[in-house]
Amino acid sequence: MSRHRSLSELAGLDQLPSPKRDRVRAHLADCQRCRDELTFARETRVLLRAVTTPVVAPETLDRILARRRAGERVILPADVPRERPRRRLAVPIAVAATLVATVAIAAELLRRPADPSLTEPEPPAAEASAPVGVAIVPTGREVEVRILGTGRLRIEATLHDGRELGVRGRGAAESARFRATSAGITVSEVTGGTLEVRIPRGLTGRLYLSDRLEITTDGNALRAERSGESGERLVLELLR
Amino acid sequence: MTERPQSDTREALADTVRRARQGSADALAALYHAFGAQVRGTAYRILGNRADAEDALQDVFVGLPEALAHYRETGRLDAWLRRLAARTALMRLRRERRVVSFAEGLEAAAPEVANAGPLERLAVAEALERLPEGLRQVFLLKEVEGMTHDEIGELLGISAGASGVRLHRAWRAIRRLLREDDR
Repeated sequence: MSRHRSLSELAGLDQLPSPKRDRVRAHLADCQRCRDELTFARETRVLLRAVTTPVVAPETLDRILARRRAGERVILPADVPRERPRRRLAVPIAVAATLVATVAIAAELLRRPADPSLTEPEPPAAEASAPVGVAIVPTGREVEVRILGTGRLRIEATLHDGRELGVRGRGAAESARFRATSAGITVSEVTGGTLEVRIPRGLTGRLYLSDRLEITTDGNALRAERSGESGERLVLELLR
Repeated sequence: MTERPQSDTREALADTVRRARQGSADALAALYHAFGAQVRGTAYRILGNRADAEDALQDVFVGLPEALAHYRETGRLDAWLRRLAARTALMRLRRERRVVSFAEGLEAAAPEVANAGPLERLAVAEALERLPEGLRQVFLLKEVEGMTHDEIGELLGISAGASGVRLHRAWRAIRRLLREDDR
């Protein structure tokens, strides 16, 4: 008799590829223990649905429509469809992309002046786990961030007076522009998604959003929302 | 009076989506009737809290007309909405840490799936609450939402392999917790 099967394997029996599924079924025919496990997995899944499927409140739709009528808009982290490279081309494409990125970064570093007194922010560094599809382009005093995929991104920037400033873009924001100023940081040209801006504890500063919104923080907490002229809503939050 | 999409015709659904994009309240209501329960279920499974799931449901549909700009008709709308609901719920979860309480929501479980014994449902609800968050999310997204490990990995920012490992651990933990409960 072949080896006993794990619960997760048995729970996903119907999704297994055909040859493997046949092997597991052949094993099940001879193994009471695994049949019991399969029964447990199926019963548990039914219970899971029972436990986690709540009724929709009847008045919810009215609330949604009322919020829309009031002009409220919510920017959602919708996924943006993208072309998937064919599997056989994935590795060469990844290698080529890495080479291009390396050349671009090297060119940018060579192009940057060496004067340390410059007031532009330090080059940002993405976390090692930053998702594919994030482009960070230093342009003079500004740092343009394009978040093409989903997931979490952390960018470190430094104000020109030396104070560290962390900026985190999250969700499906397609692009945003951050600029360090003497009073804080400017966030502009946000094209979607939710962005979170973190200011170190104790720093009192102001955030400017697209030169239209001014948010004063006390360095501990911040939550501000603004509806744009075209109806979009942007939420800025200070991480505690 | 709101209309319902003729779910058996792709053209009708595409027309509803197009009108919802243009701001039609009737079309939005039709999409809500068709997919609201699914969106709320997905949000609830991630948030484990009825009030938060309700807020997430509202946010998804308030923002849906604009978000539909990202939807392509070549894909399935229900799957796209499920990912949208999951992302919205995950954003809320990261922002507002709340106590997970599936047992609290048992009395509000949908009647069509609430025919399992109340004690068994309570035991599963409590076992879910005791699962570490990372395992619980993968477990519910896979076993109830039916997502693939690739989809789960993309949502949670982990690899598909890590999702598989978490699922394996979650099943082992659930079995242990439920058997503890039997004693």
